[in-house]
Amino acid sequence: MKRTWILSVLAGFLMLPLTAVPARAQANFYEGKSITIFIGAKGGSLTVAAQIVAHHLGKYIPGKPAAVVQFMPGAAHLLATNHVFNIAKPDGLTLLAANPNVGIAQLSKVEQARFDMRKFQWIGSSGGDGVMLSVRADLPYKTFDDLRKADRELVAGTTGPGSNAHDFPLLLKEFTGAKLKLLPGYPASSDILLAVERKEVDSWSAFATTVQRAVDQGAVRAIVRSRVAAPGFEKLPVDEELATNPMGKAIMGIRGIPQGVGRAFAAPPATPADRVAILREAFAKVLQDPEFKAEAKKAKIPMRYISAEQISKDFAALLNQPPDVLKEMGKYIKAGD
Amino acid sequence: MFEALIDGLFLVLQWKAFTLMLVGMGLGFMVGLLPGIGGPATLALMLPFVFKMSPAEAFAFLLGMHAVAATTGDITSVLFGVPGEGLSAAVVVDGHPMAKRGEAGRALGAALMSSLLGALIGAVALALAIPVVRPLVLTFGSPELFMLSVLGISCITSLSGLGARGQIRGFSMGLLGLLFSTIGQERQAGSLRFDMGLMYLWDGLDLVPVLVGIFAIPEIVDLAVRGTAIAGERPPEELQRGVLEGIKDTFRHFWLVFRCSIIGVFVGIMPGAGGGVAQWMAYAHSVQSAKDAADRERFGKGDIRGVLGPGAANNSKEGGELIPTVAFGVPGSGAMAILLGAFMIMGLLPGPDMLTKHLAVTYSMVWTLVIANVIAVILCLFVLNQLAKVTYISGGLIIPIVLLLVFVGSYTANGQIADLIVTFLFGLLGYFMVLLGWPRPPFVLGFVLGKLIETYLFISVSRYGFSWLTHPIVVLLIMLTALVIAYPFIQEYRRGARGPVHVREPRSNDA
Repeated sequence: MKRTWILSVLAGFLMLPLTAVPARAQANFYEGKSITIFIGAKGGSLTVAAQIVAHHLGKYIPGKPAAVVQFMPGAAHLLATNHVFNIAKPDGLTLLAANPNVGIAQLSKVEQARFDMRKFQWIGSSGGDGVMLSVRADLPYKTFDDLRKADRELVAGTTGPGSNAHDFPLLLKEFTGAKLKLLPGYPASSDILLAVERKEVDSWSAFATTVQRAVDQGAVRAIVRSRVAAPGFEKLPVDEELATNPMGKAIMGIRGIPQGVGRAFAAPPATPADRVAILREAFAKVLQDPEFKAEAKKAKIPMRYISAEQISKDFAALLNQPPDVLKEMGKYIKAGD
Repeated sequence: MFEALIDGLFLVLQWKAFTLMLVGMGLGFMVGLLPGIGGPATLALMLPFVFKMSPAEAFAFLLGMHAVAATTGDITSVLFGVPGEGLSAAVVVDGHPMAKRGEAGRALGAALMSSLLGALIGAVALALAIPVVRPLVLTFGSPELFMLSVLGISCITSLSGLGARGQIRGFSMGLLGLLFSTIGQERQAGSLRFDMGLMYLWDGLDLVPVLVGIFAIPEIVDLAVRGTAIAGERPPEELQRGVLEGIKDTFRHFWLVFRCSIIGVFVGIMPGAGGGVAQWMAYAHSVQSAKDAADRERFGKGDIRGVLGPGAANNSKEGGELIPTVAFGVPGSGAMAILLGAFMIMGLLPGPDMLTKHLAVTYSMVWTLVIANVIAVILCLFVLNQLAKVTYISGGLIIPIVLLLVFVGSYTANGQIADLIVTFLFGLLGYFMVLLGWPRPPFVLGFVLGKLIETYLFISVSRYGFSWLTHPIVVLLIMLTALVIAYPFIQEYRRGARGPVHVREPRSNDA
């Protein structure tokens, strides 16, 4: 009896390292190292949001590694996404600040999309961002109904197929009867707003938080939104509810899913589970950090924690579409940013 | 407004902002002289440090760094023929031949002094223009921007050699440049052109590896073939005097420097035009300032005016570029796009407020550019003598270093191996262009302006049909374009009327 007791204590001691070591090993692992967060853009709110997250991520990871945002612009975020999925070492030191719209590229089977959004190790998201269509403030159109009954087609400036600026008004035009004429070709979203100011363009669609800034400045008036609302714009009509046929509604719904996922962070698929767990925990803590919140507020980016689980669920839903919807979608939506 | 101007100055002169500016400048020096990291990339790396700063401090820090990198970019352009900042390539065309002639000191003195004057004139012009700048920018719609780009491309007549042969060569190169600019995803329908299945080409060719390849590689080959130092076997010039001479040159051609500075500011102000265009337009204007055909022949072979013009525009455009960034949130360059990120972090909104409520902050940015430039140029002048000696080091020792600068510099543009391949391929193209006497500047102009021309032409036509051709500013620009195209011929005609001057076989303008 006594011997078994001693043996079990001994065994307990022997087991101890097995439970204690991993935590310590991770602390040692991150100590003195730095985490690189790749992003497929050079500027914009997605980049700034990633910078703010990176600014605080390290302090919640044992070993307090530094976190650095690295720009890898190219091919509408596909380059950075491919890089982190296929090439980056899955050691928990490389992350992707994803543009969830690349999920649409995967859905439409773009050849260059060499990744599977369902296989990424998601860390979490700092909040979704919907899309809003706005109209120049000095025009008489104030509601969506005005847009339907307009005496002329309003010129909607866009940055070309695949962008929010293009697809959102396109689907409204096709499926809700809004009187819009698309004018693609602007280099960037900010160029469209400039064209609105010089009265070359009547309507501008962009991320809700971006449109909100222009609304605050009195340059434009928000008319319609997608399903994810920016704070203060909850009462605007939603595109999916305005669609006059189910196919249109389904396609708008597909566009809406990545917007709900928002500014998500991912690690390469083969990243060890314990490091993913550390990163997820740290990320969740960052979103609660008072300094983080203050910085986000200053930059006017509304932050909301979205869990890794939810992101995986959303991408699974996005990539599970009936063939007829996919076929119809292909007529309107081209993969892009 | 005057009050804001003074407030802006005091914002920069606060000890904290000023110290941060000096720190930024120190970093800028390292980056500018070793183009290994590149201006925008360094700015991006510094972004996390601005979280705890006030807006004036943050912009003093970032712009201090940015201003210096632009100035020092001229140094590698002159010494090695390697466009330092990518955008300082126009200085190479005449600056490097001067270095090869043993006049590196003079070229550097002129480049730096004109940069300084350009920055000052640019800042003054900007300070005066701020009250009217928003309406001014808003009158330039897509049709006007299209015609402005056409005006830019019409400068090819001045950048090409004289006579039918020279012009045909110039225009062919311009068209080749246009053709290369169409690579990648076009913006209207999103279709891919000439992408050869490579994702790298989706966004088109990057300016930096193309320019570095086309200008630097032929120089390296030339240096290797000659087997001498950059300045050849010439006895060392008296460097001290050379630098002084360059400074004097700047004032000798003061009005040229002045006009080119204004060109820089104006092109910088136009959203979407970009700084790369400003330099080349200034260079073309310098060539146009030649008195006659024989005088024009000197350009491309080391004419001091070819250094002064782009040098001035290079720094004056920095001030101009602030305007679309600050007042409209449309960044004029990669560096400005990153600066916009800093805006968001600071909680500032680019837009009309920056020209009214936050005018002092905007002016503090202008002041930072001025002060940083003055300090940078004075510091550079002290070390120029030492730097210019580099041109007397034997080629065998200098080639590996220049090659390193070239490839590291272009690699960091996008951080992709493909950048190195592009540099190499365009180096090859550049080499044959030099060998066969086809001018390089028209190619660059076509390449830089191609995308703008396509974008704005498409928008103009699909928005206005053909009625845009009657917009008053468009008409004015059409006439100006006609004048620019005809100018070299008028010049030639006038010379002909005065009696023939012996001009040998017309050669390309680009040595």
